[in-house]
Amino acid sequence: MRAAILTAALLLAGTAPVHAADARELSKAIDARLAAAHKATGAKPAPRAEPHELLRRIYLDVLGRIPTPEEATAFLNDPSADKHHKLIDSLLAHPELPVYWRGVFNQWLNGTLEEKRPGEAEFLDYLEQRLRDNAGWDAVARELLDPNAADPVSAQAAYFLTSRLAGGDRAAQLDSITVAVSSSLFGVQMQCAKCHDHPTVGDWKQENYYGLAAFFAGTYTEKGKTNLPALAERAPGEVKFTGRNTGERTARLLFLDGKVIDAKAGRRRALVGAGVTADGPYFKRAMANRMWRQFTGVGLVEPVDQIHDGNPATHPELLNDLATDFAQHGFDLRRLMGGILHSEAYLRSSRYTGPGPRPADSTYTVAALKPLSPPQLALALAQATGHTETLRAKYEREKAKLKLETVTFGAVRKQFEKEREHAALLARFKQEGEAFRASAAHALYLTYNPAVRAMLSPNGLVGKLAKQPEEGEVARVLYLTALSRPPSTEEAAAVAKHLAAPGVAREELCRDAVWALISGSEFRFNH
Amino acid sequence: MTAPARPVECRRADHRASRRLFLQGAGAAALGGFGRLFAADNAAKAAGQEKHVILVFMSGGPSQFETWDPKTGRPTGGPHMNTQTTVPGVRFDEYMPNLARLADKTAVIRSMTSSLGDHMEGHYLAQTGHKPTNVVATAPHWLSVCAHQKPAANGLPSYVVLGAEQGGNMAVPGPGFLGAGYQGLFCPGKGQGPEDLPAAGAKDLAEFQRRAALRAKLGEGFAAGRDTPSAQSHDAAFGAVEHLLRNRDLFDLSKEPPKRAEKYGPTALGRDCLLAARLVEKGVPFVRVQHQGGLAWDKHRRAFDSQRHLTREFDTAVGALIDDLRARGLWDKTLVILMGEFGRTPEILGQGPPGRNHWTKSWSLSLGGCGVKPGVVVGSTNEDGTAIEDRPVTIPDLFATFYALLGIDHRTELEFEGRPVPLTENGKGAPVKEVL
Repeated sequence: MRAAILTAALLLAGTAPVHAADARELSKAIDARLAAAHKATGAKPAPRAEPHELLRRIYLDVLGRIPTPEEATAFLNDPSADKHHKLIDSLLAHPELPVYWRGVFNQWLNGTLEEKRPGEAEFLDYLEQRLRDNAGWDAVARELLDPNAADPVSAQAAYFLTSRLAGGDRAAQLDSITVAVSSSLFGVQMQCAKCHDHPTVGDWKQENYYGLAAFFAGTYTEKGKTNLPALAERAPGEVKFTGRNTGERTARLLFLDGKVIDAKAGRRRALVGAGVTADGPYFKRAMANRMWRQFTGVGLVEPVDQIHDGNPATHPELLNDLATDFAQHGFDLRRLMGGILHSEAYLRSSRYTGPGPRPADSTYTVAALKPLSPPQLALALAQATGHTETLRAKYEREKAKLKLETVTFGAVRKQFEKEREHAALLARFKQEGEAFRASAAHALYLTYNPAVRAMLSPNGLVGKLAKQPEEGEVARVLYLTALSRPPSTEEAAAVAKHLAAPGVAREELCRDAVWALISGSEFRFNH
Repeated sequence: MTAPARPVECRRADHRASRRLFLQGAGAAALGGFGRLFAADNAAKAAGQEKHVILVFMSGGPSQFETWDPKTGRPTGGPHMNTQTTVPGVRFDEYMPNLARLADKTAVIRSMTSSLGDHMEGHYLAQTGHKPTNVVATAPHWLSVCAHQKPAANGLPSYVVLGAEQGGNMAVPGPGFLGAGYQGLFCPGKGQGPEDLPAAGAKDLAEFQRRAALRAKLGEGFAAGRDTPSAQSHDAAFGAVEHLLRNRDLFDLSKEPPKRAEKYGPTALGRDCLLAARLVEKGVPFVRVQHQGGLAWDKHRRAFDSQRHLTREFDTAVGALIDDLRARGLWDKTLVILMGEFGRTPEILGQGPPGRNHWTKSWSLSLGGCGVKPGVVVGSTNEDGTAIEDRPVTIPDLFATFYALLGIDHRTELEFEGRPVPLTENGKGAPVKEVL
């Protein structure tokens, strides 16, 4: 198994390590484009965020968690001026990066699946491995569409398609695949074109939708070598459709750009050949735009899967730069990440001090407030309350049963994802709407849910603070653990005053203080 | 080889020529802004008219033969007898004496027709008006739409969910693209109040206020220069918690006189119907009540015996609910709907104790109050209940009717990512005039 993984890794092209300096070229290009846009509109971009803000932001964006108190202290005490750049580079090479990003990619690719299907755990393993290999996004996309069944790692990628072949009738399955592929790999939705030629995008005819579907006409599932479903390609029937005025037609194999494709080597392989390329606009733009949105909070094109002429980017040249750079460098995901992360656009403050109303996030003048995603929130809550330390001790005791060699933080977070409380939080905080919107159920959860109450038990940070005799130390440890920064003088005084409240047990007052921070906006958002 | 499914819905994803222009028009409100603007507008509108909905959902698919459209004596009729209702010539199942007594106050549709015979898909369709898709925009529960269009006044929750089907797949559809702010406030059933809300006690409120004061104080530094709609909504959610703590008696059934509670029957449904009545009386606009978890109405086997008990507890609880609403002067502004996701086959099947399978071609439901014309029976099925004889009513028609009764035009379009999404599938459907 191990040998097979190694072979697979070696077979993948474009796995060269990222050179930090290279990614900075891209950052400069980004900043030049936005500077021009700001100059044209007279906008005044916000200054760079404070170091502690960058610390938390970079950890959340790259590793999906907040820094530990030790990590925070090391960073905050570092006197160098470019420490955030160093942090970005070191986290891009951090072993937890694949553990976090496998979830992000799974959400991008499969977030709309209504239920989990067999093979999800293995698909996460697959993504983690490819991220660890620093596989090019083109190599991953190739495996998503046409996995190599003989290679045990690659075979796990079949889930992207088999999960959509698991329920419903054949027609619904084909529709689900067509939608998933066009949306998540090529950044376009073609539902309109399903029933009639597209009204505002001249190039997209009804034929395009069915043309894309036709690439999967021979795709079925079969029992794989392991217990997982695998993909089979049978001699395909034809995809037929009925136009409004044209009567029934047979779909040709047609890619989005209008090219009719010859598919002697298999239809899905032909789609890879036609679509997963550095030349065509769809594949590279889709990921460039998603990644940009992931870090800045707002896509250059929104929604991210409606990239077409009728819905132009806010900054078209910038999108083009990102996509071109991405394609020219072997679809290197870490380079794309690094390019965005090192830019001043990313490093700006989220605080707006005027004049006038706060500019729209889509102008990239001020950093957006990004609500923590449900997995980020779950882990950050566990960290901020000291619950991860409790978990670490528990997993240490259960090491043998859990088959863990050493209980690293990476191991803790993976194991935590399997806990029932984790699933419950994800379900409660699931965000489907376009705009962030909190509900009373969220606040009730953060205040009274038994899982959160357990995190606020004396076993965690609350107990540690209650035992701390020195008042100033309470506020310091509290702020460092929950918000990754020291408290201001005013904040420390407010905490001390609260702890002096008469008639309430000290432990209760410490619980108030931890709760006041984890329920606050500074905690709820990545800012 | 079949073609991919016909459009679930033409989402008109990109029919709007330039979303950007639209966004710029909204100025600083941008992405986070639409919903807020709409909600504020709607709150003003809502102050004028006060209408309520209690949806009692019969998960699993109730049999029309054993409820509102009996075919006693026919080969498809099953062993149940029927009973004369207060509407001449109209008979219901023998185990629905209260609903039979109230037939002249309510309406029945005997000619519902839909297309999705799977529980999950049917559930979704019957509660969102849209077919499930794997597309990015998940349709909201129609009561979330109502909460969006006609939010509660006075800080009360706009929409409360009492009980749910157990298990993830059958979960009550959520707020979809409207976002968590329109999620029904979930209460776990059996008359209990909201999940995670502590039981009544002065201590909790004092404790919460103590913490909330510290929270506000420690939040000041961050808020300066970051007063965005997102941050406001996060703070508002904690304000809502305080409001709930202050108004816990809203959910406190111990405040109800035992005599009132008794009428609803000693069942989980009885408790939830009583709670629904209490909530409506106190001003909550929209309530969904789940009748038992585990797809109780899904009687594939052993149908007719166990059905008696199920139907009886249902009849007792919803009968008491309707009586209660009438007695308290709430009936004229409260729409009560009794329905499941589909009906059941005319054929009686099964090895061993018989039952009926899923059936979408012709099924029944009942509605009343809020101006629904009383004593009306819409549509009919043939002698054996194998097909609709006249006046088919589709899911879009049904939703157009619900919305019309609430004073909402079903052709209203919501915004999702700059694209218009009509309340019913493609804006189809026409209100069932017979009940208006």
